[in-house]
Amino acid sequence: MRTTMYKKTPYFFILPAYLVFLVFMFGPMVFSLVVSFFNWTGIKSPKFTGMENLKGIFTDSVFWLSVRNTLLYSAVSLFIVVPLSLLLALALDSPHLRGRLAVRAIYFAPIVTSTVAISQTFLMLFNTDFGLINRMLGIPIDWLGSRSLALVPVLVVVIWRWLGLTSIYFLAGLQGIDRELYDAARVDGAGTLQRFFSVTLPQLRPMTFFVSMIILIGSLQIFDEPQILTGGGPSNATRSVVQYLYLRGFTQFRFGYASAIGLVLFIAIASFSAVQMRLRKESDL
Amino acid sequence: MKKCISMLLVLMVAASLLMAGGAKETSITPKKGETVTIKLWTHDDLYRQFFQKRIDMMNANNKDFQIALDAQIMPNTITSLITASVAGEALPDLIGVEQGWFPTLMEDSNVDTFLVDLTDKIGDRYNDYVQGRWALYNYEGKIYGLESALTASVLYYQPAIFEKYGVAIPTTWEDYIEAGKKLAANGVKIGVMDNDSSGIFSMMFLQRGGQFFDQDGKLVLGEGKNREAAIKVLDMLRQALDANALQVVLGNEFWGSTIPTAFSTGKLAGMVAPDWYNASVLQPGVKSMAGSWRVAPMPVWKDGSGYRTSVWGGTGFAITQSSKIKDIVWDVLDDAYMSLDGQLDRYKTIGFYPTMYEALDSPAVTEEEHSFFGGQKIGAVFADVALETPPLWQSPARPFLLQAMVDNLPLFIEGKLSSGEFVDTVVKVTERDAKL
Repeated sequence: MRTTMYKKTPYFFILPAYLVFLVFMFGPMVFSLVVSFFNWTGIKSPKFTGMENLKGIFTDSVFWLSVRNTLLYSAVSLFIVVPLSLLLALALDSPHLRGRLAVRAIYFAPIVTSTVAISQTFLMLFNTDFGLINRMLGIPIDWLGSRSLALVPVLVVVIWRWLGLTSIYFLAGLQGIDRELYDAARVDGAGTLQRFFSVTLPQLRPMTFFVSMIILIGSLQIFDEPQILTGGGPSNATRSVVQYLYLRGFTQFRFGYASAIGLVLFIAIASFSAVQMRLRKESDL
Repeated sequence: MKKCISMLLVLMVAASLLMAGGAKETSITPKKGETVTIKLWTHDDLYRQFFQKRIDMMNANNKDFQIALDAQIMPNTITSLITASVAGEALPDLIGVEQGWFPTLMEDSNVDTFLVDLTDKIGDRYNDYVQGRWALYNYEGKIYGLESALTASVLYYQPAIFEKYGVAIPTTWEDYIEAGKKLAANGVKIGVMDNDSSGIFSMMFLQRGGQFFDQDGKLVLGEGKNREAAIKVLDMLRQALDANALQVVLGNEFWGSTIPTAFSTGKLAGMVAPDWYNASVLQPGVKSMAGSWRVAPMPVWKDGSGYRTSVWGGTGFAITQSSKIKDIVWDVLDDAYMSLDGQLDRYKTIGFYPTMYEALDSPAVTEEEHSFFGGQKIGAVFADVALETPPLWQSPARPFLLQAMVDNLPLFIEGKLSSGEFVDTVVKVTERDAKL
């Protein structure tokens, strides 16, 4: 009897978390999956349309444009934000840096700053006629109104906003590295670069994997940055998949179509994550 | 299987609507001395201020019961109404419906599910108000909301800039282009074109007599005189763009600091905008420029086509089906929006021009001197064109039309689409997305 209770006890402890997951995550996911096979405006009876929503997505040029944009945001996040944040973390970890706490707080500030403030600040910075950036460049570049350039300000905000947070993760990783490894490397005659590549990077591998995962998952669901700066325009040039889902769902009240977009996005994120985990497993082997 | 799932979804929605009080309920009568609370949802605090003022006045004259106002300000009342209803949360008694969101309720005939038909309550008084304003909240011949403003468009301008460069205030669009060219030669823009909310295009299009939808909600933009009107307007805008006469702004920037900065630095001479722009955007944005502004009628077409003004925006107030105090809410709405005193008080309190003919002609409106406009009696300008306020017919397909315009207007501005191509693309995309 005691043994049975003993075995069951852990399940009672994890039950609340699973209940929350079931009600607030799994339930809506299943609901969304079901809705994706219907045409539903949210109020009256949904009409079963089978695969029509999914078929519609694959021939929807705006959806594919939003996929392209989202992949670009993800690529920049992975290949620019991650390395930059590692370099920043190294700088912030330096014992020679004065006012380290203040500097760390400054880099972390974007993540806790209101999106309205960010929006207004960057809209002013990138303003064609009165913006600081154009003043410095001395050319009236239409950053936000041009389809070919509008991605640039959005990417700048993405980098600026996420750099601080990811560098804090790397900083935690750096501080967890055993200092004796560096001492041993020094004794073996390793220079700064060699210590970085032979000690720091391998030791940071779990943290790099973690940061890459959250950056990838976060960037595939990017919404705030393009929404506050360009609203997805001009002509969908900066629209992300989640923005498109929001547009279809909550502006046009096509919940079936929006759910189908959500389903495709879910499969994409799950696939990317699976590939990443597989790569990590293989590299560990 | 699909029937079971369909039924399950229907049951979930029905249960939510019942929990939220989406079904029709009988009104309750307050007891003597009781305080009844009206829940108000609106996107603009100005409306809360006005309704609070009118309720305070009603309370002072009502010895039987008192009314309290519980107002919530939210960006999008209709999305909130639908989501709160589905989630089974309490709904408001009185709701401000920004006209652009009314079509959302037209889809699947959802209007009746949420809003009370006010047609009988309005009765014969229908003819006492500017006719075009009823169209915004009209669904299958029934009226579900009372409009808050005339929204007639005029030309707001800085006379000093026009005088400085020896340019006359344009009275026709053809003159407007010429004036724009002269100002552009001096580094000043004559007006604004937003690259995505289609404000100036829609205003000029409606002014020229065009309609996006007919009275039955059918898309008619691509047909006959509507297509011609759209192309004529776009060709005129193309001339202005090519002459570098218009300040093109992003939709996101339209409500921000770009335009006020351009005004205050003398880079932008003015803009065509409706009455609410003055109270909600212009005066709060350029307070320090008080006295240096004037109002002129919107330029007209030299060939005499169309109206002398146009419309943009508007907010109607409606009573929800879930309200248990519909009669009391109607009394408040009737007093605030349908009485002469209420219309004049609304103008005085929040600056939105009356929709009632008698109020528009009142000296309280036409004779008032506005210090921001150098003492000009701008009410007379609005009253003069009020009879020519065009209607804007609604349709469930309107959100799709607006999105199609948002997506394609930047292409037109860039010169990638001609006027005709823009119209045809917008029609095609709207038909496809709205599945017409």
